[in-house]
Amino acid sequence: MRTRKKRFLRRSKSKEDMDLQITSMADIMIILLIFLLKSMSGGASSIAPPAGLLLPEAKAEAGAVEEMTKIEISRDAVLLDGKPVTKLTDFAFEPGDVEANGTPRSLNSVLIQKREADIRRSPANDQSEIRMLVLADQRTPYWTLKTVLTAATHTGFAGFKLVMVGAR
Amino acid sequence: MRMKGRHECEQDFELNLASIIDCFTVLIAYLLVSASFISLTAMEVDVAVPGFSSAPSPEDQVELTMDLDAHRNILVKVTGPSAGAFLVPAKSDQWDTLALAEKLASMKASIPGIASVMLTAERSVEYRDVVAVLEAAKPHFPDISLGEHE
Repeated sequence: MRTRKKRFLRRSKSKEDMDLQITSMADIMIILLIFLLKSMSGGASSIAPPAGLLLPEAKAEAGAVEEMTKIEISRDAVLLDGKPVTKLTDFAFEPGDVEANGTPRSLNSVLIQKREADIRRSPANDQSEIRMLVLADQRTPYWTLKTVLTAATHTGFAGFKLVMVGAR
Repeated sequence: MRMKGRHECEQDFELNLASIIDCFTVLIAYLLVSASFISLTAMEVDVAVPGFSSAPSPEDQVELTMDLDAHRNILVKVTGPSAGAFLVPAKSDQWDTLALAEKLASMKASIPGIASVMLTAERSVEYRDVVAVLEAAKPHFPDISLGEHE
């Protein structure tokens, strides 16, 4: 009887060790699911102007903001897809960086590389125009804005979308 | 024996709230960080670059140019068969976008076939002013190019 009892107790202990903690796994899976849903939705929520950049206000709704190549013009720099490419001093280009046509050399080289990379990445090596989002500080002088857009046009970009804060 | 059977049939169900609270705390923190509290909108424009136009514009083509100066005056020039110009002066030291919108509406009605519309501005004109003028002109002329000030 005692040996039977001991065998019975040994079997039940090994069964208890096999319990699976499903509650914790379910928590992790739910969090992962929500994170993946948010990251896949994307869209305008992922286009956030950098700190210190004041976008102009729009009085009326213009158009939707789609995910595309993004150029940002702030007081101190021009950024392409979040990476600073050209240094500015109070919205002005550095004299040593300006080419004969008035566009900044540093920006031109990065735009050419970006354009070539986009053409290589597209399925049929498409040479069509590529559009660009422009996030510029509301105090940007027209000359600076026009120069940046001219540099982009020279490298094959067209159809610019000026991003602004929507009407409330 | 019957009581023992009933006791075995009952299941103690305990809800593990600690895990649920952990899960929701992390979710709330993540959603707060990723939430955007401003709505963004975009306005489509083209850029007119000298030397990049495909063909010279014919003489009979009507082109409209809005030129912004540093004193907040808007000079509207029309080239082509219906050539002319008019000035929209500043109102209380501000851009008079209402008067501009009215004038553009009347021009669109009176001058048919305006082929292209261009906006130019002096170097120091700020981007927000350019956007304000574009907003006034867009309802009448959706395709506007940004050009160079002469």
